[in-house]
Amino acid sequence: MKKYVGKYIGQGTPDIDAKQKATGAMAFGDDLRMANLLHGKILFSPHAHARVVSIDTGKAEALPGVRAVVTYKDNPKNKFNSHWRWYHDSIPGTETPLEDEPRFVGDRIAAVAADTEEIAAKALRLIEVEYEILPAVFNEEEALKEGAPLVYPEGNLLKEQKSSAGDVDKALEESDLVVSQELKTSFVHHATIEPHMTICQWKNNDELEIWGPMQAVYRNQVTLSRLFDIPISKIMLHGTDIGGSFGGKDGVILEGPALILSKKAGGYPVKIRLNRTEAMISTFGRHIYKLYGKMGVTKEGKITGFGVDTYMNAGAYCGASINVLAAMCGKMFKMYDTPNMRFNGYAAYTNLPPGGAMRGFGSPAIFAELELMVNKAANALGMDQVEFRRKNLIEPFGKDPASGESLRSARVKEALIKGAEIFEWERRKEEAKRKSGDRYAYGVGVAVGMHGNGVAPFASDITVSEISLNEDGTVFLRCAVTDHGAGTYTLVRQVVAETLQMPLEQVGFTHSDTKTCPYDMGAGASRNTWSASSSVWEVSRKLIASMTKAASELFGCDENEIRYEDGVFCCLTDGKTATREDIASYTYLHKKEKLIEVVSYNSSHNAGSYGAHFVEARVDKTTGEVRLGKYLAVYDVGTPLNPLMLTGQIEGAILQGIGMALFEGINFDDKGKATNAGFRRYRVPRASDMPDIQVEFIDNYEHGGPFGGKSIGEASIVPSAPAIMGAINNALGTDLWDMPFTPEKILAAINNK
Amino acid sequence: MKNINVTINGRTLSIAVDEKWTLLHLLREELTLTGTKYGCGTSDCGACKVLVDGEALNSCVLLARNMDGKNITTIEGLSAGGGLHPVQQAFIDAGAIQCGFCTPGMVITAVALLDKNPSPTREEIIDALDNNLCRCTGYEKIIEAIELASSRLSDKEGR
Repeated sequence: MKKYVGKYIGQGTPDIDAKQKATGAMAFGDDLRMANLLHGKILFSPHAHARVVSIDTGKAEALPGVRAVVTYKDNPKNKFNSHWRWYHDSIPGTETPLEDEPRFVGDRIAAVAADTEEIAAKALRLIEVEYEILPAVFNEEEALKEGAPLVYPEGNLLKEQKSSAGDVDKALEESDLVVSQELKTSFVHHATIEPHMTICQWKNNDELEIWGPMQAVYRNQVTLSRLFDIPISKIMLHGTDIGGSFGGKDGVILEGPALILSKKAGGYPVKIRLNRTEAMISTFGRHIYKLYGKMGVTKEGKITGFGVDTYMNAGAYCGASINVLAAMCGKMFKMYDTPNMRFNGYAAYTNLPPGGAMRGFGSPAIFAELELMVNKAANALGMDQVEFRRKNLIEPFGKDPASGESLRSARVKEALIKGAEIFEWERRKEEAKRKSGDRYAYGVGVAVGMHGNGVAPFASDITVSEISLNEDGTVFLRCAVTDHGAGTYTLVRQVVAETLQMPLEQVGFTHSDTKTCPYDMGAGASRNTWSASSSVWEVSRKLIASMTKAASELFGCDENEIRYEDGVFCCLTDGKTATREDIASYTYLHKKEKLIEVVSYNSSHNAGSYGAHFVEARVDKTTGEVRLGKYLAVYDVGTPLNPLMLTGQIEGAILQGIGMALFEGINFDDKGKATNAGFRRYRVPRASDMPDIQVEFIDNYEHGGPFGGKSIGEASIVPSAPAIMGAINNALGTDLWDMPFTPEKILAAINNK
Repeated sequence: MKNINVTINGRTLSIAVDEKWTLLHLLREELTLTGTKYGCGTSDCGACKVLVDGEALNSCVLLARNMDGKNITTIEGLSAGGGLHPVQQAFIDAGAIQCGFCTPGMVITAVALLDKNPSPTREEIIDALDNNLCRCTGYEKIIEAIELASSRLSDKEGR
């Protein structure tokens, strides 16, 4: 399929709100100013598992300036799941706004609303809580053993997820060689520079209104409706511009305590904003996993089959864990061409903070496992790692053997081959060997990875868009989609401008708001580009159709004889022309009608976005420190819709991959307390950590995406950490698998060799 | 409370400040200059950087009462005349802005750097960014933006 390049689509376009952001004018949630605003603070549990025996709020309530103090006694009767997708979603609701049985250090115990944040903080210290300490369990495998402390009386196994194709045991038995691979991942903080916040108002007539950074206003709406037994029609959410999310602002987080505070304080709006430490310990992060894999190969280098057992540390509440485990399982079958694959997954409750949605949604861990295992198999056969992958990667339009679904235009092999050429893999590999000496070891790494586009076919994947023609010929788009900072608000306007052949600046747009926009199931699952932008594409085409119909009446000619070019309608038979403004005037005056179109779009199928990463690493054998050199990422994203933002997304994903591979993870002590909760001790990659990045795309056109495009947000992070880890193992000849590869672990591996 | 005289974005103010207020609190909560952001409160992320007598400093750890006699420029002050500062324009053009939350602090750091060193090397830019965290961009386009601003500024002076 030929590459699509248009006037806006395919052109590098800076974020449409960049000027506001560059001048400090953009109002993020904490920048909103509101009359009669109260300030809330939350008391977090110091214990990993305990029962509240007594809680005395008397002194806190007596403090001047305090307007409300709430505890579990103020909870509604229902529990909730922060990540419910729709009104009848059946994933278990295990959370309450405030707990009388805290299940992790950082669980919410009580909350205060006061005239100032300082008074609220002071009042928190006056709340007297007596706890009975309960036994706690922190490790995902320990939690599933007989006799482990119970996080819930029903047991610690949240979900078993099994899927397979072919006969893995037989395949391994008949293989020339079988390799095993373990992987341990860490609890990674999203580290959005904007911490979590919300402003909530429980109005006197039991209407709820919420302002803040939210990935999915309509999903939070149904969750709050179910939690508080308030009709959906009485809940309004206004999504403010998001200062980074990566999954971290998905779901209902602070709204529960803020709403019951507002109710108790007499209906005044209450703001709760977390400081950095609170955001790190009390929300959720990337799941900790332990994985065990086995892969069989023939001596010619063909994979005969593989199986992976996955233990997911779900933490204290279900949240998105079941969805993440299912997504992870599904992805495993979409990369290597072998009929025999098996995934056994176990999600375990523990007394750590919940794992939840985070960029890649299970894919980074499963592909880190597969890619380290593939390296090991190639090494064991004495075969080059790129060559081994080339022999075993899927072809476009193959079948996922587990689901039977088409893999569609999945051009990962092309990305690998193009990448190896551009990166000069062979040359760099040899050079790394040659350069390695007493002090520095050099290595190269390669990894492939993918992520999906949307939630089809497993769930409804709906975005409603509405577009209206203004009297001057400009248009206004209403769509509740939320931009995490990846450029979605720019992209949807590119799609409208391209389709309607009109200037980008003439596309008005409102978004992320239940009051002003029709339904969107929310940002997540890499669906903004694939599903939401497709909805916008379709509604734009529908507007052209209705304008064409009006033009045919105006011209008195058949619709088939009308062409729309450069924003002008022209009748081919008599040469009459009309602009969009003419059409708007005609329908207003003569038809007494405003042109407005609505589309409820459902993405009916999924496709994968695939990439291959290549990297050079230098390891200092005396300090264990790693420096990255050349880095190349090659992607199949169908049509590169906005190359500037796509490249930016991939560069940012590489940053996060570096963090996962080398530094990041919250450390918990033996009582489940985080020991590095803050940016001082939690190491986030800095400018000086970044390699020399090159990004390339392969030509493709994916049917089902707008103008043939597909997502990058999540696919971009998947191969990053495994490529880096592979380069380190390649440099040192080690078998490191315990993430992150800190200097201490690297030195230990060198010494153990 | 203590009275201080401080110049903020060219306006000299005489204000009473609480002994415990940080400069960030004064700017955001008392003066509604919300372009300056809170990211960590521990001087580790740079989202709250402002120019204090030309130095890019983290306002979350400076006490407002110590700002007596100081000249402070916030992100709002860079485009006070209505036009964008060349650094701001370069950040837009280079695609250095994604979510935009770190952007004000990044721009302030870049302005301080270019004021002192109009033609920094790539290494000097990376050094200058060492106390500014960004989670979206991977810094690449931020570095490019500063290089672009530097070259535009020197072109202008050359003319």
